[in-house]
Amino acid sequence: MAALRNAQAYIGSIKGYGMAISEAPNSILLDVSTAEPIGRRWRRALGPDLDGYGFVLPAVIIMTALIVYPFFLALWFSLSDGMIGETRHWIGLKNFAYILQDHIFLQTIRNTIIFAVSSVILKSVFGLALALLLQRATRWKRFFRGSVLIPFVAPTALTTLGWWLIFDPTYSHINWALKHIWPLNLLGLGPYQWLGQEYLALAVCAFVNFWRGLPFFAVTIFAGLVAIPAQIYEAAETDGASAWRKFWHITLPLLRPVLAVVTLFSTIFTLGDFNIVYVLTRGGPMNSTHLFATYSFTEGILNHDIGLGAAIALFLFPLLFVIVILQLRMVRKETSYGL
Amino acid sequence: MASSTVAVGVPVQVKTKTPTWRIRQSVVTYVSLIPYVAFALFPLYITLVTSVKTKQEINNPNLSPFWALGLTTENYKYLAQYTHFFDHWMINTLLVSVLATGISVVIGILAAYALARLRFRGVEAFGVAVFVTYLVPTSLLFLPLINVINFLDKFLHIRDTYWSLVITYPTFLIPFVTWLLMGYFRTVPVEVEECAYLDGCGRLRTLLTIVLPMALPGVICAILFGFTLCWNEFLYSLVFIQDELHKTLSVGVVTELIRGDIYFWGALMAACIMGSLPIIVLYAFFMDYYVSGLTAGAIK
Amino acid sequence: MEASSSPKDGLGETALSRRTFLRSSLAASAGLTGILLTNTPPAFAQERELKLLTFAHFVPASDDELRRQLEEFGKQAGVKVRMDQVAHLQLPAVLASEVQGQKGHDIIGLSRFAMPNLYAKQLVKLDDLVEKISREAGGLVNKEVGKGSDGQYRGIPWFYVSFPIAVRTDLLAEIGEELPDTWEDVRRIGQKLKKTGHPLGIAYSHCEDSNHTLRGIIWSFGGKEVAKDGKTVAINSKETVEAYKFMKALYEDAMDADIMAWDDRNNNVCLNSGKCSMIFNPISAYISARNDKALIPGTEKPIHLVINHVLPPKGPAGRHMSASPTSVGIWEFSPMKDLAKEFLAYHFKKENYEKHLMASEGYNQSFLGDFTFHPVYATSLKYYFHPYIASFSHAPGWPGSPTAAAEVVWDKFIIPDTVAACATGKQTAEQAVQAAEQEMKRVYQRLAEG
Repeated sequence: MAALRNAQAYIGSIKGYGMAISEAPNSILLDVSTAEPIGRRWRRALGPDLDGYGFVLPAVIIMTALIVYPFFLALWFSLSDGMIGETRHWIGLKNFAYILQDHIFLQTIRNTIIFAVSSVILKSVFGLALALLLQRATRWKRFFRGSVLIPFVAPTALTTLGWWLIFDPTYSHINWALKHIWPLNLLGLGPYQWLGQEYLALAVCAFVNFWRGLPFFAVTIFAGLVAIPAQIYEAAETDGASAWRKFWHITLPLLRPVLAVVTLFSTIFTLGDFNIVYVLTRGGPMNSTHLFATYSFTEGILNHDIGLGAAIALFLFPLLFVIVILQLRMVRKETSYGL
Repeated sequence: MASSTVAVGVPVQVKTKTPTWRIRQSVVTYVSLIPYVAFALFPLYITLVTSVKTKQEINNPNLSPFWALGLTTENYKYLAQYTHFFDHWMINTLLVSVLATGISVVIGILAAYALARLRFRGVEAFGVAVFVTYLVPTSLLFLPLINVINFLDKFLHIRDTYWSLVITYPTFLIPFVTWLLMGYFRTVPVEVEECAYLDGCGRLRTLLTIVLPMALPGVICAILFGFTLCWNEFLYSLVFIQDELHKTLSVGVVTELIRGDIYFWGALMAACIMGSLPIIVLYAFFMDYYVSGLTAGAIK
Repeated sequence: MEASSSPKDGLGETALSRRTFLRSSLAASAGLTGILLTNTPPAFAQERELKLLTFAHFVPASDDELRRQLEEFGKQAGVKVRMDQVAHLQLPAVLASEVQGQKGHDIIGLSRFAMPNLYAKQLVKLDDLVEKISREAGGLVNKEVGKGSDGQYRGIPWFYVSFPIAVRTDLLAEIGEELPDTWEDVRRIGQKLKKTGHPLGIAYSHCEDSNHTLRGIIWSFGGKEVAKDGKTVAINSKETVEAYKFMKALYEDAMDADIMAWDDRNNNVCLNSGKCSMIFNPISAYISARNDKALIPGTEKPIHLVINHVLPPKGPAGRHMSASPTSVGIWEFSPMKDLAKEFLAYHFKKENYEKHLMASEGYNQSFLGDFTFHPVYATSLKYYFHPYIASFSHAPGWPGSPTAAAEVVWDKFIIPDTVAACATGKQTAEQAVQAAEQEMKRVYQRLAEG
């Protein structure tokens, strides 16, 4: 279909560093044939932008003082031994070797992976669905958008307490509903130990994380959706594209950079989640909900063995670093080479 | 859905857009949204209901948790009378969030512009570094950060005040703001910038007068999200501030309303409602600007 | 007659509300600019300030009393004073950050039993002060609490909290049983009452109550975590296996599955909501039931009238239960060490100490011999056990001293986890004890090297 091809060409031009939107349809095709948008080539001729250094300087200063330095200090913690406040001696990777033999730590790795993967998948699927719905809802916009945002907006420390009450062994609202509310009580589903059974507890923690993170996905994807010009859809419609085709060939590809970065950020946040597990289960039952952050806190702060705590917290760092680099490279590749 | 027969090249008539189809579409949309809204609001509803229940009602497991039989404001009164919720913690949290977000957005705007537009050695590395800083969890970072805070405390009294938070919150705000704004700045057409540049505008002026207004929804979005992150933060606030009058909401609430093995659920839930209210109001107010800015930007 | 005058909800007393009112009106009138201005005094002209950090006590009145004493001392000594509180579970994080930065408060409440040990190098030696206090007040009930790793006192033993059984006497009467005296009684009674919907409530989960109670059971059967030297892991023994088998039977016969998810507050809730028949808990459950006017479900009768406390039960090896000790110490890096010591001497003077003890309404139990039989424990029939429970209570780590290694084992919940594994059938009792032994050996080895 010609219109769809035009649309894809248009997508290619948008993905360039400079978005050259031109009225004449011919020029769209023209831009596609060149590897770079015109503006960029023009600027390259002028040489590097030295005042760029000045622009990033404040950020660099803050990040160096408050992140880079503490990070290297934390790295030093993980490669040395000694309790908090004592002088430390280099011991190489012994802390890492120690935790790899700790069965609680191995369980923590399993828990964290299950937790993060399930939560992020749920968030992206439902976030996308919700964003699409929000886009289509033209009435009562403020109500829908506002109410959907609330999980992300309300203070986490306090909303998690609310969830704790909902899953509480004695007062669980869900158990009460299953027992007293018709027609649910006809199903005869017993009172569940939401936080007392091993894998159920982990599922509950992932569920609360999903509840909290869904608005983040929905709103950011929504912003990406709204940025897609309506002309593309109209062009596709005149060609008779079905809703599914529109979604698959226009929406998804255009959303890919947004989806990629949102997923990346969310994965990083989710892997480092502390509050939910700390409030709901403190790592139990039988260590089935310990995540890196909570176990690192237990070993490092409660047990004063900051070397172990740092080793646990930094364990994923190399892997995440590689993932971040690859992701960024992928996003950059897409933007530079258009179609 | 009636869009099946597609002959290539032959424009299909718009029989799909009949009024009944439209109504059916919107009904489907709104009905599908209801579960999402219910899901999002459910805990808040429980929180609200619990906050107006008497203690005895809360403690009784046989009564419905979804409805309050006797309404009471004693929990809110407790919050106002016996804790520093309204007179100190709320103000502290507001100040911290506003200041930290303000600083981070300003610095983030500059950095994001550099990453999005400018070319110089190290821009790639800097871009990567921005992401990488997120990989270190705050539950580990806070301990080394104490050293930095104590060092700065030698010159300016920041320990035990909210200034320590204003300085440390940007560590997790700036990367986020930078990423967010990078994307928005890229959507501003290069030609417009080049025009300004040719007209003699310096880089900074271009940024402030041309790019920023066009990327305003992104900036508002960054401000809103940044504010939220500040409002919710717990760990840094806990270890940097112990003075009761300078605490922020989340820490103060947990200290006062959880004593050993006794949880004051009614007051805790009331605190949750009151603590979320300012942010909800903020979002409700700015949502319109944010979204209308987005839609306006799309139809360029 | 109750010790306190007007317990509204046992939470904010009139003193606190008065102070709050004063403070809030001052703050409100000072306004925002005022707050900003007073927050940044010049770095060089800072007054001497004595700072105390502790956790928010369950009975706010005792914190108020401590603050009052601190302020009075400050007036006498001519220094500014300040008392800060954080939540109980967050105190370790704050203390860790103060040690890391070598800066913070001067006097600190050491809420966890091994803190004097763990922070031995960071705390001031207080042998002379402890010696003086114990001499003047009839000796120390427990001589190990507060000692650092080198056997010298790093923290003054402040108070401890014990774990009696809180039992619903009306339910016992219904089934015609007497108050339980042995663990077998507990199991039998629990089994009968579980059938009527009122199970026993002991947590097998990641919480303090679980750590305490399960150790009590193990000790009562003759098992032990470590030998008397505090360094040799001695958990794998016939007696411990018996204890594990008993805990499995206890779970199957007398308890519901929800105990696997319990937090420290859940057993209070279980008792006060009318569900549980017996729990192991300090008197906080009873006090909050009284203050909240909780009712027996289905009636208008207050439930606290039928809650009573019993000494922890006997096992084959005697009567033993764990208790939670708190000490108070002074940071070595504090610039006001001597003044801090003076305050502690002031606070532990008999008349001041007594006021603090009474302010806690019987919740705190004293380490000082002369206060074991204090009248405050006679203010309510429900508190009768307080003077006697001291001889049966041990600090965690018993029969060794409360060491850092014992606290690591505590924090990793090795005992609750292995007991839970055994009770749910995931492992046999022998396997569970072996797993516990393995874990503990790793911990003790690492701490011995480091």
